Amino acid sequence: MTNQTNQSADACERELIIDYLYQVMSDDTRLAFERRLRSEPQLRSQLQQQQSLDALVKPGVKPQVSERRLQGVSWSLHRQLQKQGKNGIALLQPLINLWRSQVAFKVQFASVLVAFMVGVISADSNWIDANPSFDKNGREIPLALVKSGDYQITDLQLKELDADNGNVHLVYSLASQTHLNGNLSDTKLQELLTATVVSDVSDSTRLDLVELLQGYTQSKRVQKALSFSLLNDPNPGVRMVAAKSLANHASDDRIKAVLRKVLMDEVNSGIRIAAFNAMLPYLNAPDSKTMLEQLSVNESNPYIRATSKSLLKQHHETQSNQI
Amino acid sequence: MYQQESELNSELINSARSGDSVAFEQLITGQRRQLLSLAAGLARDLDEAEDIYQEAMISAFNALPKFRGDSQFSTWLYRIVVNSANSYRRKFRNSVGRLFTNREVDDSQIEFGSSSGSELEAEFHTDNPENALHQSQLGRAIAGAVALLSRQEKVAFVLCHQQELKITQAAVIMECSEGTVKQTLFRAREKMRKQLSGFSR
Repeated sequence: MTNQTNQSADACERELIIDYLYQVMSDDTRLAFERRLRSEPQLRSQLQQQQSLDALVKPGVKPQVSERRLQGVSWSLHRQLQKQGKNGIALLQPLINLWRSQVAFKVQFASVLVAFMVGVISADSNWIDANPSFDKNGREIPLALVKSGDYQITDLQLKELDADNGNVHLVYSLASQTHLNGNLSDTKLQELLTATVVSDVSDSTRLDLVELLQGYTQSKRVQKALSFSLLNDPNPGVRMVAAKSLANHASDDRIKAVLRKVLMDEVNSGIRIAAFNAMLPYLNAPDSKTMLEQLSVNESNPYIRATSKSLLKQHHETQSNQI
Repeated sequence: MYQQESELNSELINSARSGDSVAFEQLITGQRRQLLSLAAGLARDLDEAEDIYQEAMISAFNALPKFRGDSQFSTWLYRIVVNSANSYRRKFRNSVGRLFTNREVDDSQIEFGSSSGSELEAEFHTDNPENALHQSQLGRAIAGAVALLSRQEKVAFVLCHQQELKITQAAVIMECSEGTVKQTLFRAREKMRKQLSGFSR
């Protein structure tokens, strides 16, 4: 009985301490508690112990979420919500509505643009360049197609797609909105899309485009645009589609170089895994040894780290056998 | 409908109930950082937190017709994030994937900071290397200590201490009495204190 009473008193005191620390006491209760503290050393000691924890782990100190990660996860959620039983063309309408009605959404777009432009400026590969290409007459292909002097391409929307023959109907904005009917195998149309995929501010548009282009990765122009997106796009979803699209061309030295860069610099572990898996058949080459050494020590993803260690072991065994 | 729910929110909730995903996204726009931070507090790393957050938001969208307005919408969302985190852990424990992704506690990429980045920088920025090392070690130790808490203790600690929610709100989210929240929180704090005793000066 006494034991139960003591336990009950302890529980009561613990609740009082929590109430005091998290400031849920009324003024009267707090004053009464502080009077008890002055006269009860054991209670005071318990409170001081708890306060020492607050000094180390300050209330309100919570996990940090970067703007980039927030944008990425919001976009991914947006796509998942869209997939909840809506048909193709209707998918674009909510985004348009959101654009029209939400100031915050416009601010997000602006921030994506700024982040993307930083990526464009800081891109450091000779092969991958963000400049639109020119036809024989020196005209930029996108401008030649849209009959406008405005170089800014934004808000590209996929209106219709015939999956059987690749026919598409696109709507995009330059100086004015322009309709264009064409086929995805048309190189000029590809040029338009590849120029847009590296410059459009809308996450949704860029994702639609990389998904469209993944069926046309035989084209060097498309490979180049997807490589640029993989290295620079602010949206992890776009980067992931680009990585998977390029995986089939990992035998190409230029694509290999891009995938290596992704393995070293990419923050998203899923994309690093996609790049790593694409490179797996080529990692037994002697020039991969240094990279494997780095990955086996520095890589945070356990799958990549463990596989790198295993491949490195194979490298060593091969070397020993040769000696 | 809960009295404190704004008129705009009520309209958006009604639209979202009828399947308007844009209305739902607008509803959660102001809270997504906090919800993702909550998920991060309950997850082992930020990738897992993203999964939990997305799973929770999809569940919330699908369950919206059942939202009766007995609590605030934000509290309801918090509860779904907590439930998603719990079920995610169960799924994870049961999956073979665990064998391949069994990470150490200090492999977590979660960084702790106050609500604004600049405050965090102000708090942790130091020219003293010894201090910086101490802060870095403390950060890892905190993450390790949180990981050692039981599921309920972790939820209570994350809600009340990290996210600074009121005990009453935490009780609604955890679907228990306020007394239970306080007892669980005290136990969590005791474990944390013992784990971090080496850092007390």
